[in-house]
Amino acid sequence: MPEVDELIGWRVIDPDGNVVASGPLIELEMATQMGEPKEADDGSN
Amino acid sequence: MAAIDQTMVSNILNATTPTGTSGAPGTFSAVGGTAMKVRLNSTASTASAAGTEIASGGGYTTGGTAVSAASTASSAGSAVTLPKTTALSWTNSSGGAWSIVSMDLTSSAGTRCWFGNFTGQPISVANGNTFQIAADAVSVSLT
Repeated sequence: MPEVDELIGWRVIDPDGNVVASGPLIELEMATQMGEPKEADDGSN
Repeated sequence: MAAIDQTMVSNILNATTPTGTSGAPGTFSAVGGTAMKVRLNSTASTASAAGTEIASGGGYTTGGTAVSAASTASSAGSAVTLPKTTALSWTNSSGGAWSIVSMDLTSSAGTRCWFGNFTGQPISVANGNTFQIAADAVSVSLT
């Protein structure tokens, strides 16, 4: 089972049918997990 | 990466929180009733705005290309992938090269829902070449 980023998501094909460029799957995701708590701002620069 | 249009964020939030009358859920503004489209851009899309769309003509039509079939619906929080079954293809006959950076998933009327920048962008598509997004290559999720 290949890693996700090894799967082909997009490709550019020349008129002879040859793949001249390709890239991974396209993931459109919105993270919903809580992030790490931010440290309190102590007001310093 | 936040890959959802900010107007859509508010749409979802308002429909699932007590922003409606007397604390009822707010109203979800429907996105549209016909096939959604994938739009291609020559600059990056952001949460607030789509990138600059590829010029119309020469193999690309303003607004993008509609998907041809329904994706499998999300279940138990799973991602939705598109395009279902059939790849989306654009053959460049503009006379010059396309430079593709990002895409948007929109309603048929152009309302933006999701966006993403292609890994490997900018993608150069020479005149005569075809840019293709494989079947189920785009994965949309709330993780």
